[in-house]
Amino acid sequence: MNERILLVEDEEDLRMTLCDRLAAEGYVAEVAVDGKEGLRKAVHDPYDLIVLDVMLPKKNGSTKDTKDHEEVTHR
Amino acid sequence: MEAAVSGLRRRNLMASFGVLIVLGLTMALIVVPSQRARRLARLQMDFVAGVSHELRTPLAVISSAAENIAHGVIEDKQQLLRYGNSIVKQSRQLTQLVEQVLQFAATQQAPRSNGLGAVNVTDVVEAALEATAATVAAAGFTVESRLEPGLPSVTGDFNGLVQSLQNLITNAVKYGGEKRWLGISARAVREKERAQEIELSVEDRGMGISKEEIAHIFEPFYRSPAVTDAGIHGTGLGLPLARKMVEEMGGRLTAKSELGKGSSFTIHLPLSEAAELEHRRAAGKSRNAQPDSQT
Repeated sequence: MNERILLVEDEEDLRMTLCDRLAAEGYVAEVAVDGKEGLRKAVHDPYDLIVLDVMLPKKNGSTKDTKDHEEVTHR
Repeated sequence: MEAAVSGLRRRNLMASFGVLIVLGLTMALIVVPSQRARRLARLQMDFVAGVSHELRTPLAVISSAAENIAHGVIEDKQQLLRYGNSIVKQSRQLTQLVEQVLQFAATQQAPRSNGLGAVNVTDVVEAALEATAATVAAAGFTVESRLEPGLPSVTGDFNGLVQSLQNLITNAVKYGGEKRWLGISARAVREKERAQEIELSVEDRGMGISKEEIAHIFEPFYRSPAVTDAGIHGTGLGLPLARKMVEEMGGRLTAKSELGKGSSFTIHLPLSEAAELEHRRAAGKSRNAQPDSQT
């Protein structure tokens, strides 16, 4: 089991605890610290699951950027 | 006859205008407060959403850290240490948030005019810096203090002043940006060499506030879109709380800012009765001393 999970979360401590938990469960967890970085990673690299915070700096979790959004969902 | 009719018409016209003006004023009296109430209700909803997020984040960190420890995910001593530090930091944030909401609720009730007395501004700065030392150090900020020596005492409530200054320092750290610098200064505003009031300022070199935003920053629950977009957490209560406390002491809290250059918040405080008395005594002595020196 090497499913890749992208965790988009601005709170450093929460990133640490969630990544430790996901790693302990056998997932490969990668992180992004804001909406912009999360979207860039999601567009350029396929993930099995994206865990996305809603209130995020730069681009919040509920912003719909149609072009990028389509690119992510079509993968 | 025609003159009488025309006079009657004129009187009727004037009465109609009078009625229209009264109607207009009544409408304004109804519409303005209702718009204000709607705006306040919207701000309160934003506040509930913001505070919920501010409460949930530290709670999520504390509970997920505790779960990881309880489930044996974390065993290494170094990791345990990091978890311990996170729990301490998040618990502190949670406590500060709850304290701020409770303080704000308290200031909305009866004004606290009691407990006012002569306060030494240098002691206030020292206490506020001590209380915020951990926050300032964790953020890697440099503090530059410029306190005029021998400042006269002010009228105030020591704890309220320390709390107000703490709020300004915490804000400077939050919005101080990459320059990581904050300045604290205290000086007497003089007129003909006589101190009129004391100014206590906190400055930062951060993102600054636009002219449109600065009109709203002292409104309870207000958070600027620029700040929320930057992911800076807060309740929108720190500044209104500080202003309310300073005003209850007979002082003022003002703000100056330039986008991209930084902000400066100043507490203006009246001199204490003891300081005023001291001034009068000194002025009297100098008047009495003048004729002697001329002879």
